[in-house]
Amino acid sequence: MQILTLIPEAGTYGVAILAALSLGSFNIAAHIAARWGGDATAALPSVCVAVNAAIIAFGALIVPAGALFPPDAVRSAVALGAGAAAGWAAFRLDLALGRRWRQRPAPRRAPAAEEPRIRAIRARPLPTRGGRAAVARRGGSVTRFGEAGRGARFRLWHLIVLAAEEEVIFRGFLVTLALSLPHPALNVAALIVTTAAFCVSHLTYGWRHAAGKVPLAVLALGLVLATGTVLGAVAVHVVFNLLVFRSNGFAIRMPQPAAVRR
Amino acid sequence: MTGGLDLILRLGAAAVLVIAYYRYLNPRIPAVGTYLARRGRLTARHSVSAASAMISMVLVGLAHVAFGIGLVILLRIPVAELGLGPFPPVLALYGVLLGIGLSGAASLICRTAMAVAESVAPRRVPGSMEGWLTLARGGWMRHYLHNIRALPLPVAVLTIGLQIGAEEFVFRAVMVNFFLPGGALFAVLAAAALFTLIQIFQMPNALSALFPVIGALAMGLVHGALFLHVPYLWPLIIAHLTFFMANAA
Repeated sequence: MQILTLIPEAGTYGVAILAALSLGSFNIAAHIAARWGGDATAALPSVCVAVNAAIIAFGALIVPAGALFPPDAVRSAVALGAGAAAGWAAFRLDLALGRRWRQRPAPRRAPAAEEPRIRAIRARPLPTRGGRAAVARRGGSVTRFGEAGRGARFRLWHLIVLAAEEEVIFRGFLVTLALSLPHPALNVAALIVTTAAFCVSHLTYGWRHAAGKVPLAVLALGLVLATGTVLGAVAVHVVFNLLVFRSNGFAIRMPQPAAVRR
Repeated sequence: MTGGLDLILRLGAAAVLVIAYYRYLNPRIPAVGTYLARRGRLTARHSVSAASAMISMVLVGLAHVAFGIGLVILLRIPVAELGLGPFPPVLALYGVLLGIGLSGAASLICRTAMAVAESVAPRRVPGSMEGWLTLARGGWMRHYLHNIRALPLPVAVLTIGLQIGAEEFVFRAVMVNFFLPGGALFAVLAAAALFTLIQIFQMPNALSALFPVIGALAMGLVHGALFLHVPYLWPLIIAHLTFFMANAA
């Protein structure tokens, strides 16, 4: 791996920083949104986008862009096509997982003093196309960011930009760092840790959501390893998010222009 | 590389010294802080608990530095190997970034551990984030938090920095060098294990020590490896301080 740094000491630090920032990207954003974001649930998606962008900017100093996106038109086209198909497959697997998940008995929990407040937050209704019953009929509940995610509302652009950013971070930087380790066993272990970290970074939305990310992560990783470009993984994640968006009926409700308001 | 018996002896000797200080001597210092707080006028403006925490923090930091210097003499660590010399300025910025990154990564591991614990033993762990945070703010963490709330921020950072700097000095500069004859991997693992162990000593129970243990393990491994590759202590102190302030502020 070529490391772009001015002095060797900074290079070693840079690799450690990039790995730590990448692994903790969502949690850093969540902390910032909770402490300084005012309405944390509203701020979270935009803060995630900003934090990921900052990490990518830093990562570009450590890992050259050419290593993530080789300028090869044929390879890129193949990766994009395969990525779109894999994104659809990941979505179908996620749907199937969702159906099986709903058949599991609910876990028994000890009553706690704070419990009513949490339940009140989770019970907040969502703007879903066709109502909640329609979503349930569609076998939805694939990715109810708002419900399990403490009310965070992800708009379409959030889902597209975050998909691309997360793939650059998890399948780009972290996979590059994992493959740069000096032993095949370490490479495999690091790739497993990277994939697991991507899945559990979605635990804020619940186990169901974290488990639903496994097919997506595995398919995206396989595509990166097979094609040598992150472009395919970006396609997987963007297509997955778009299908989830449609399935959940998250229609964007833009405010009407003042001229047509009554 | 040194023989197995020598490494076991080194690990045993270091463990005895660390346990003796952190398990038995260090917890007695706050009693001195409480005594001094009652004698002084600090209790007129602050609660006894807060005043005691402020004085204890300084005393603990000074005692910690003395313990570190004692270890250097006792374990015969060359002063030149301690990483106390001037360092490239860019590493100060990188120290801050490392602290933020490790804070996020440790937070991810803590969040996962919480979710696993809530699934495996729901009746034995808090069912909410507030409950977990209440647990985590007990023990020695209470002293830090009192300092942050009661003192002006620069003074609080200095007193906490003294304690944190001493921790980095003991567990990176001293311990990593002491274990180095066993190889780089052994040095990093052994120093990180001892660093993790001490987190348990001053927390009320194992569950409340969960967050400090996870943070110490992540930091111990990364900082130990970095100290071996880039032997400057100051950027690691900056990273540790950033990590702490990011989590406690």
